[in-house]
Amino acid sequence: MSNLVATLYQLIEASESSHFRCGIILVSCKDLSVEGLETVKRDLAHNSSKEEAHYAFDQNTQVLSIFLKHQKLSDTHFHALLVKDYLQNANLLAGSLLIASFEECTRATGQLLRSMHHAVMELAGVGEIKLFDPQAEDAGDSAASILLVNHDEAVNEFLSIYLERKGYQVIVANDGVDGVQKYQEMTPDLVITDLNLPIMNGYQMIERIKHSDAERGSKIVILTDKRLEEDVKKSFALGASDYITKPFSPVELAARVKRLIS
Amino acid sequence: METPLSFAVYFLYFICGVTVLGLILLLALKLRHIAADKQEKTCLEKYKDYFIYLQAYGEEEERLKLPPGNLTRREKQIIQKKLFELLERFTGIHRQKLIVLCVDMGLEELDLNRMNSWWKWTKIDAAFNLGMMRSGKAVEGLLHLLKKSDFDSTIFIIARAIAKCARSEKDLRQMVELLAAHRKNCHQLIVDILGDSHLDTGPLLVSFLKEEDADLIKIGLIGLSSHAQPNMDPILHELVDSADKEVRIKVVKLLCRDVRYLTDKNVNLFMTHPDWELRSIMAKAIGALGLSQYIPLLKRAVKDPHWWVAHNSTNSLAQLQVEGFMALCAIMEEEKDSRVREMAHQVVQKELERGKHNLVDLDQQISYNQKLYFYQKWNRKSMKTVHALEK
Repeated sequence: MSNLVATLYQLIEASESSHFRCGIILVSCKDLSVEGLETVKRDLAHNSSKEEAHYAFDQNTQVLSIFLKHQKLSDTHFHALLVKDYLQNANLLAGSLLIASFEECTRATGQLLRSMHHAVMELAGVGEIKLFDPQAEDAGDSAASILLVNHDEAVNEFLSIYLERKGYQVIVANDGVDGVQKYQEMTPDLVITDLNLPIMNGYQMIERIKHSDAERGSKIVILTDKRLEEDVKKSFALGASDYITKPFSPVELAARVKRLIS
Repeated sequence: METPLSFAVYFLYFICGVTVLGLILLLALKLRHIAADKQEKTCLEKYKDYFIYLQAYGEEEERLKLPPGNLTRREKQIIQKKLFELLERFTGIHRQKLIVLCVDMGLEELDLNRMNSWWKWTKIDAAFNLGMMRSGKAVEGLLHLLKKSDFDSTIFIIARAIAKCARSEKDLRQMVELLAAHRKNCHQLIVDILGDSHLDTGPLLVSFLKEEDADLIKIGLIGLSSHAQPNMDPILHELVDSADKEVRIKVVKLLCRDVRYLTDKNVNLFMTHPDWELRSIMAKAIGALGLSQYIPLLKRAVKDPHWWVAHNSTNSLAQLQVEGFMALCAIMEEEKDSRVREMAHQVVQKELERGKHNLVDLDQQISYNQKLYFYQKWNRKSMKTVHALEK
């Protein structure tokens, strides 16, 4: 067990009786001396005085870990923003950040902590904040896949983040041709598509998909601002499973997606 | 002494000077625009992770946290733009959380202050922003601004903001009354604006029908065509005798949408009404609603002196299954007026042609065969008559 994992494990062991919620941030840093780590602790504690945080730095792998007591994933994520900003300004950031939260910190087993440690070292890029999902880690590589075909970048960005948080694997296409191509490459469990798409419109894309893969038959959800009953009728006639108009409730969309995929 | 030539030279210098100044001004504006664009991109990049955080935790119970660090006014405005992009696309808890975040960031306060600006466009921009944030605090100010504004396109921006922010039916009523006071024919747009409110506008629309003001009545009638309300018959029947012809037409259109309002008395009343528009609407509705008991009325109405009434009556007969079709054949056989006969003939031909391509359903197939049988029977009979006359 690496020093870092051991330290985190000790922290969890020490407070096992309380069964509290906790958040963990792991980040690849440049070399930190003991004094350097103390400065980081002091400055970050000054920036976010509310949270009770414990810091540890692994010299071998150069990973800084921050253990946050009583923090939900959203709070941990927000804390990670502060950490990233601070390390970036102090020119200490060497890689990306990995965050996780446990409903009861005793669920953070040694195995999961080791997986997190490995994952943070393998993360590409600098300054990216990635979520570590302990449940997905337990379930293995069985996440349902969703192909998102929409010309609206804001909707694409939001749904990618939102549905990935829900545990789905999301792939984005910006137009109908791209949508068909990505569908053929990945054959997703579900397609969420707009009807107004450049190059090849939504109807044409659905026809292509249904024609090319009649046996597998992925479920199709229409997410569009077209409200005419003619469009609804045509979409269902082409084989759509659901029809949602914009503006939409993401909670409702997630519920419909869950029903269709399950 | 000034000669015309030297005057022309000075004038040319002046024109050149003005042109150069104009070009400098254009260049400055362009550079300013580029700088603002660059600043926006930098700011969005800086807060990229924060936006991911916002989008990932929109349905959690706790409030969304404010962006880290101290924000400049410009940064606040750029973030506001991004938040509005999201606000427009979502409903439910995600929208609510983003609105609360806007308030927490002080954006609502900022725009409430901008409403007091001397510049009209600053006020309009602030009104738009407050509407996006559904700010209840802004309603009074927005109503005041709407009252003071002249009639141009900006009043609809303000009105839409009021509809989004409205706390009660009273706010919406005030807004509609102020818009209607301009006496412009924009009733449909006002109804569309009312649709932006989160309040139930049904009772408000019904209350407009009891007003003296014909514009308010029209707004009520247009709105109710898509917001059906119960127990409206007494009010609508009073309005059938309105002095305003447009009101009469709209009322009958509304009544003809629902078969419950169409009693024998009403149908007879509308089919014999002095306004041809009303007769025409009623004739069309009989076919659309499939009221085959009124075939005799339609048979009489095909002789109506107004073309639209006759046209709608013939078409409605064609919609009333085999009985209606038989009535059309009877008109072709019995009617002396060649114009009426020709109109019925055209509709019969169209109906038979349409029936040929619509044979998927067994019921439709039977209906088409029956129509064809009656047509052929009528045709043979008329041919016999022709032959008899020839002999």
